[in-house]
Amino acid sequence: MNIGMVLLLAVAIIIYFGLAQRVLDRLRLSDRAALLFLVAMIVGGFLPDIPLVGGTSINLGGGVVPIILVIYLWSKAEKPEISRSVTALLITAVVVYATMKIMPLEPTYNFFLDPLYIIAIIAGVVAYITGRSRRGSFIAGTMAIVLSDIAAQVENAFAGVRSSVTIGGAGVFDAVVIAGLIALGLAEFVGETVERVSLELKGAKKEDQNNKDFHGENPPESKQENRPEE
Amino acid sequence: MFIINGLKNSRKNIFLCLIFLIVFLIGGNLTCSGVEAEDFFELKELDERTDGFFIMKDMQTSETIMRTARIIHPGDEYISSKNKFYRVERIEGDIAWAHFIEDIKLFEVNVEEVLNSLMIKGGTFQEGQPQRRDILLGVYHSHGAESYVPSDGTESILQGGGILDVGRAFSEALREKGLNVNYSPETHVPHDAGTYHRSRRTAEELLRQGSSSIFDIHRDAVPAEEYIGTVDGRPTVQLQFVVGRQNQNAQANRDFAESLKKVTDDIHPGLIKGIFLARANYNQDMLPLAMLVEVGSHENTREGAERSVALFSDAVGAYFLGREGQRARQGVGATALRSILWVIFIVAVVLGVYLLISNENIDELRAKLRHFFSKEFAEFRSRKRKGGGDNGAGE
Repeated sequence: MNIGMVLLLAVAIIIYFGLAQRVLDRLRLSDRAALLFLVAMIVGGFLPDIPLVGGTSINLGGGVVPIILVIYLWSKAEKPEISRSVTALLITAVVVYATMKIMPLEPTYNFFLDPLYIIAIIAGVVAYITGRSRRGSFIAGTMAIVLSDIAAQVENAFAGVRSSVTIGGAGVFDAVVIAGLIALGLAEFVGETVERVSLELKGAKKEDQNNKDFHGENPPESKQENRPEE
Repeated sequence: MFIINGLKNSRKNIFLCLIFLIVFLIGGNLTCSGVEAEDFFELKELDERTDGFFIMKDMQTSETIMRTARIIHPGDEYISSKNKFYRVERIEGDIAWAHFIEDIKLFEVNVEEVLNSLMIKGGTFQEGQPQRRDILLGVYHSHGAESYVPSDGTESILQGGGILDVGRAFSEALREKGLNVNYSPETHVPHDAGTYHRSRRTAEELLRQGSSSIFDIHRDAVPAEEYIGTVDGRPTVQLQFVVGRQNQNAQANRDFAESLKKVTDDIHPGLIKGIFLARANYNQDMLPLAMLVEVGSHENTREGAERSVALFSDAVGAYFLGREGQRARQGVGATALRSILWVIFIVAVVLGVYLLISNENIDELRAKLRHFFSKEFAEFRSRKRKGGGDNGAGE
């Protein structure tokens, strides 16, 4: 490859890593921890895959590190949040698996985006709706792809087909990581937007309230802000 | 126990998810033009239209440009074997009306020079040429179950279709040219929409091994005659390149396809049917020199497809080993440089929109940016920094 192609890849990768670091940063991780996990994903992606059972193996960067991150997040979460994220994960995994079955095989059959992005976005949307938090979204988005891979292997076993699957085999560029990041990114984007809109509405309501108060119609209200969950 | 509690607590969420799923299914069904409802919900053979195929026609002359089993969308583009560039304007039933844009002028190839540099006479490589082990190519199949009905008896074999034989034949022919080839016979089954994310891992593995270029070998699903052309005076199974437009390398991928077509046209005229610029990714975001190749259709013979990829290997050999190919790759590199500006521009726009939505006014935006540059990066600059600002998720 010549310099142009190398630079194009380098720019794309730097932007991807930059966004990934910023997105991971929103998981109540310190900047350094977010960077550490990202570096572990990148480096782990180049290490040999770990064989599991029945032709299934797992990549360190694309499989083991995201799973460790999910376990770490669970260890830091409150019980209600854990239960919510597990529910979100189960629902998202079912939706992702069903999507893979229902969606047409060829990318050109699809509505507006390649399945790689659609599945990740669906995982993100469902994960956010059910997880209702950034961490819940990331957990559900990431693990849903892992579970769908395992389901695919089970399906192959039932069909008597021998095949090999490497969970997170594409390392930091795998659908496992991409789905987690998109889910988290959506949660962040939607969260910020909802927060912004709710604050606007709150502001408008408050202004209205002040006008009414000015005319002596209502008593004063508490000043609690409506902020989305982490 | 917490799962049960979670399920109880999130009944509302489940309800929302079901609504989302229903909307998604109905929406998808309506948007997926050309596919009947019953076909859409059928969980098999979704890659092939059993009710026919699309015909791309020229809006001005009504002449047929090509036929394909792939769903065509407005905005899709096609470069014909004669290098005529079309863009699809509208879809009416099974007809995709395309507007002729221009005659594409591909880069000039000095065929004599290419053939001499490769010691090829009449499209066949001679014995004793030097080995070029420094160039490594990757060959794989996202849909390893695809097969050829006349030869394999069926159009899909989950354990591995006839397409694997075509891939092996292609790899072997490339090795005979002196190129180093890593071939993956992985099938990536089950045959569903997850195949490309599974094959992405194979592509990544091939890149990790140092591949300069990766070829994803497929077959199409249209009547046999659509892929029959005349090459060197013989009826031959044709090839079609497919370029995914939904990735940052799209323009470079297209340049690669065009230059590879030009080299092929000069060595074996008529072998390449065309270049379809489709609405997809095909894992081509991973490398500018990534290519999806359709080798014939399910109704062509596997043996014919194997002969065609052997011919195609002459062009690939010329592209990667010849001087003209080197010049073509430089052209792809120049395109890649232009693509960088687009990537940066798009990212800037997305970030700008996000910042506009998430901030009330310019002052808040400025404050956030100041905080980002002064505090977030300060953590890396100074180890002395301590305290509450450490938590990046606190907003």
